[in-house]
Amino acid sequence: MNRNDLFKSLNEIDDNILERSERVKKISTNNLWIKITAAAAVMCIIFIGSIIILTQDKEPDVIIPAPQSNSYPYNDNEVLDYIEKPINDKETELGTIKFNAITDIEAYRKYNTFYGFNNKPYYSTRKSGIDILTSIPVEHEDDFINVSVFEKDGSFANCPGYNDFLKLKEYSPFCADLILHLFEKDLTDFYNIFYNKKNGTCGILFNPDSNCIATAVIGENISLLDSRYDSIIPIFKSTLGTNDSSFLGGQEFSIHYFYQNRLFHESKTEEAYQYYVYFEHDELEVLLQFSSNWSLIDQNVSALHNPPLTLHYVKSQEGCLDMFIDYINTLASIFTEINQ
Amino acid sequence: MEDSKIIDLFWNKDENAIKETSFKYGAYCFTVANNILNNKEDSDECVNDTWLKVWNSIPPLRPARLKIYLAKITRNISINRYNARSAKKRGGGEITIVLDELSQCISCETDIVSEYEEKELGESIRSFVRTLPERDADVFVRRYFFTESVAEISERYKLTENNVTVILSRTRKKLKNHLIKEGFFNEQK
Repeated sequence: MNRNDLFKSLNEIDDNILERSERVKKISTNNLWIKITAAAAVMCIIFIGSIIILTQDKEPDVIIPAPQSNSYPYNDNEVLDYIEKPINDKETELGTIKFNAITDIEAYRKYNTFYGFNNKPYYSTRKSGIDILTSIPVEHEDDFINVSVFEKDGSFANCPGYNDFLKLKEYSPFCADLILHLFEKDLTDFYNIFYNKKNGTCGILFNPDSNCIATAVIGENISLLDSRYDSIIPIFKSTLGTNDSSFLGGQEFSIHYFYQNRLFHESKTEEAYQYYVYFEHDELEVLLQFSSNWSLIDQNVSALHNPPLTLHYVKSQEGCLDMFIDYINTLASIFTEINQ
Repeated sequence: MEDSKIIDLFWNKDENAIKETSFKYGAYCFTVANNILNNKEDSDECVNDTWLKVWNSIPPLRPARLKIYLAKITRNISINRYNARSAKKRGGGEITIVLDELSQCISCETDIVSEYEEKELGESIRSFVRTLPERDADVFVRRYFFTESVAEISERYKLTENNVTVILSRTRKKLKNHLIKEGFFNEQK
């Protein structure tokens, strides 16, 4: 058998699957014109409507709020609830993982709050660090690196963007080494890496699974990135050197979680654990974040902030916790090798 | 014209069948062929060969899904033409990348495949795709059946290109494990 045989054999795929894959259409120029025409029609209606209202003597009965330019659904939600849902410590071969709840809701809100329309907050619990890192402008193009590393044929050197990775290695050897180790451990096969030379900080985005999303921010002083870190980093640091920290593979980790419960239009839409690992190594601060990517099956947040085509649900958040534990164990095993 | 009426025309050996099929599905079949061949003349010829093959196959066949039936025939003809053309070293286009990616699902390549093995392989692939989550199956099919580019797939399903790349990479890995499990080859360390 060769690749041509394999390619040819795909002709046997069920017709209904092939047909289903056809159903989602690309946005064609015609559709674009329909949209432009529809938008123009709406503008005409608004214009004519405005003239009618303005020429009327009396005030309209109903005041319609101005449309929001930022459609992110959490704009009108100013409260991120805290519910205590403890996670028990986990015994692993490399040591005990000690989970600490983040109970300072104000600090957590501050860390996760971004300001959108009318300066009202919305909460981005997934990519805060990466969003901040990539939003800081650099003076020269070369001062910002974005390289995607994914498995192609098992050889790291054959990854697309390998030359950019070498540049990253020069700027941030620890980050590059960590990626290499993780790649070798085969934990996940895709990493999107950012490096901002202006503040010497590296960010990594990866999906351990389609159910989870993970990020890492690495720098000498990551609090310098943004004032939002000022309140949360001390919480992570406060665990180091106490009985609440986890010693795994000879490395001390501060492990925290937050159980969040979000509201949208006064209805509960999402419950999810957010996991954090903070540690210090070689005078660098490292903050890792893990969170569930999809909605619980009986909740509906995906329907609210994802297009219908990308709706995804999970039956429980347990899978993400298991993956988080696997990830910590992998990190610990890397440090075991480093420390030997 | 509705597909059932077009099939009726083929069934009655009415020459308008090809005209109507060409009008409704000509561009679609051309895209299927051109994604593999990356050449207008070759693709046009493959589409014409498709009409002939459909003309000869209906009756006795009466396909339930005409569009997919046409896609499969066009794809088959285009692959044969691609293989013949490769011998003359005229490659290129998306197909080269797609075939490179598929070669990652095979741990050892052999040239000889019996008709029996070919049938078995087809059935194995069919059962594999059935086990995939809907989104992953759709992405896999757009890439490896329709030979669409990662950019086209990401646009179609409103995913990022990175996301599509990850889905494809994971699915290839799963396919490789499936083929090993099914005994098509042994794992090579």
